[in-house]
Amino acid sequence: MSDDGLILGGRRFRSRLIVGTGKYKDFQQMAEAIEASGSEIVTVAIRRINLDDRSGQSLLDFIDRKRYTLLPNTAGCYTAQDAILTCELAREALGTEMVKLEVIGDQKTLFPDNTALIEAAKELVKKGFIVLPYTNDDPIVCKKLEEIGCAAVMPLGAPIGSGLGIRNPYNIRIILEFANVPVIVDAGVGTASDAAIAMELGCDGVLMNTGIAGASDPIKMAIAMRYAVEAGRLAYEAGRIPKKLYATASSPIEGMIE
Amino acid sequence: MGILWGRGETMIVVTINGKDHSFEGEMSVADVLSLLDIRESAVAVAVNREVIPRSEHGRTIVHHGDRMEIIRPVQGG
Repeated sequence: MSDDGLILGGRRFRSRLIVGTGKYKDFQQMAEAIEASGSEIVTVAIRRINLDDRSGQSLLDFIDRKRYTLLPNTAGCYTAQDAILTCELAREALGTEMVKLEVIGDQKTLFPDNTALIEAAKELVKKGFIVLPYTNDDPIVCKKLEEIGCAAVMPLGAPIGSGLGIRNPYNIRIILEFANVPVIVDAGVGTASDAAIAMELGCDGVLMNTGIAGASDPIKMAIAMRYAVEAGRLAYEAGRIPKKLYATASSPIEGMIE
Repeated sequence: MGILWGRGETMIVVTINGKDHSFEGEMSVADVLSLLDIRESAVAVAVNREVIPRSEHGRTIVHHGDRMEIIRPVQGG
């Protein structure tokens, strides 16, 4: 295969699939799904330690950090200041500079607040972070994020956890045309074909959580997503045939019996 | 500074992860973590929205009225 992988912040990853660690039945199922997905980057959230209950197991007991790169997110942050502090805490806790930046603008849609996102991204790039921003499928915002110095742009396919697929493939195409950094579709993927569509468009990667964790059989869906991302990438590299209205015979038209 | 108690010792109140905790006098971040029995390695601390690097935990003093955040990674997407 010619695929040379996904390059983020100067590091090369063979897998173009990034998976979340949320919403699994238990840590064991999460670990199995991550393994089945073939991903090398997994996202984690940053939350307060529960001081009243110190009994629970730790997420990191189930993720081999030599094998997987942790990508802390700023999920749940509604201001640039909270997102920045969350990234700084994540860097201190995990020793990683790469962050998935989210600044949410609305509770119902979980759409990003682009103004606050750009403000936070600027500050974080200045502080030396490798910033991977979750953003609207807006080519102008993506362009601005790239100009600021983000290491990738991560437009949503559809609202987080919606499973609606790639709602605006034309915008994703424009984003891809504009971009000089990796474009990773983040959010909205519901099933394997959605991931394949993102990759066939030419995206550099896909990030998903609910699409796998919420499936009836998360392990099987993780495998499906792995294949879908690989298949979509191969199809993109192979170059699809043009779409035509009428048939073109695949078998020779000469030598027919009479 | 802090609340003066009958026997002369000074109690301080620190808000940790949104809840008030009382301690007998000012202490370091490392002392607070040890008192709260937090031993995990992948934790981070901010005092008044300023991240305190691990190397500074021993010499950073927590004062009465400070707001402290102690975080760790959890499952998320």
